[in-house]
Amino acid sequence: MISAMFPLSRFLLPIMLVVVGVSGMTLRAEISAPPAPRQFVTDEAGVIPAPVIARLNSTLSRFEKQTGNQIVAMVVSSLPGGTTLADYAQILYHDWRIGSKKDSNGVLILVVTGDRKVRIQTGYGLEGALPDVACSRIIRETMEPTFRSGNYGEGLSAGIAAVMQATKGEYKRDNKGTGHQGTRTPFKDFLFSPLGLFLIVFVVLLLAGRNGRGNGCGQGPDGGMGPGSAAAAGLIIGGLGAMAARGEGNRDEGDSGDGFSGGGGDSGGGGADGGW
Amino acid sequence: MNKTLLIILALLGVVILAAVSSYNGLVSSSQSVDAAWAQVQNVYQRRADLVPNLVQTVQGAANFEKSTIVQVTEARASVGKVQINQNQAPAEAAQLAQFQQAQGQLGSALSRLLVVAERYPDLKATSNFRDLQAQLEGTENRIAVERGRFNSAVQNYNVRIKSLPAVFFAGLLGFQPKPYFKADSGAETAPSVKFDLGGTPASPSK
Repeated sequence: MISAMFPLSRFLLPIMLVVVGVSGMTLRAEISAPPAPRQFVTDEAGVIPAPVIARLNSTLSRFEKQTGNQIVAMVVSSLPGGTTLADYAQILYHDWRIGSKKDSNGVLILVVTGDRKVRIQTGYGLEGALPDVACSRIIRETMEPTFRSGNYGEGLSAGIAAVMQATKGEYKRDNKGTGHQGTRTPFKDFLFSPLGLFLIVFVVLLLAGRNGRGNGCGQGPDGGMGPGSAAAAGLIIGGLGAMAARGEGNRDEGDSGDGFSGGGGDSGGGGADGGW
Repeated sequence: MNKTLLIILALLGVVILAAVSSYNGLVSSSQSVDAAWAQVQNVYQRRADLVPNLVQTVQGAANFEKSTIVQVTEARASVGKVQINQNQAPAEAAQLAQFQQAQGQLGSALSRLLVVAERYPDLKATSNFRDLQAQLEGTENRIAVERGRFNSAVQNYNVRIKSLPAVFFAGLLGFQPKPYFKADSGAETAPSVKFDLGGTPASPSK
């Protein structure tokens, strides 16, 4: 029996490794954004007074608790090389996962002081409440004039207030918080992947082989697992561990105190930009 | 109990299970491509829907360059003539290329119109025109985003049908590679701007 199983596992193992390797290779690389901020308002250019930032943070935190909408503002002095304002806003929005997974009810305000440019980027779920024209008007009428005079704190506060005003009635906040991870679990995904099914059949086969032998000559004194099934069990456990590590739902999302934490939302490129 | 038979049966079972599960994976991957395609159609349609309003607005401006408007209207009409399935991603590269070419023409006609509009300060100052401009810019941006998502969904699918174990079954089950959007041929050449110093409307560069 064992001599019959050994060539089999020696043959299967390379195939399994190839399958694992190939499925790993399909993960695609993306242009990276800076890590998601812990606060709603981040000023990397150092143009907004700290008390204003603190006030905006608590306002936006309260706003998220009331409406579920996440409004995030980022002030930088320049864009990374090779990106445009719209591209960078899209990358930040996508990577920071602003708004809930279900509704994508988020807004990103990106101010680039060096280029004198500003963009309001809407998530999919707020394109109705905040159409491109509304974003453009908010920029033109409330932000640009104050930015022009150098008063970034006031301009940003006014812009955020206008965005809050436009989006406040759009969603009811559900009690579960903004994080909505769906029902797919890494374990379930793994079980129904080719590799998972493969391993299940492999283990069943091994057990069937042992039972077949047991009927003929009685239980041997070994009692423990044969090398083949031990290897299979090891692979299953290792595989599950890897799947769990790859799952991204482990982060605490939604109800995490007063700071910002992305809920899984995405943007389709809506919004408007302007300059002063 | 015949062990060899048992092993052969089990291997056969593994092959069938792998085929079934990779079929399911391919179906869902193919459906993601179709979903991304539907989004692409949405945003292109959104742009096409803006055209009548835009044309009307610029026509209101005193002696706005006629040829530019005609080009936009014609490009809009030819976009409407391209027959393409709205809900299923094109299977043929030629089909996608034809669609992309028609849309590309509309895109460059529209950007030329915006460039020409720079010469009409009265028009540019109207809030109606500025709103349309914001909508048009937002739509172009959405097109870029959704096209990128479509391409990565196609890439995901194409890699998948060529990966183990699907590569053994994909062809048999009728999963063929799907075409991508190519970088726009017009995208790298900015529309030419002609300054008319003589006071007569500039003729468009064909």
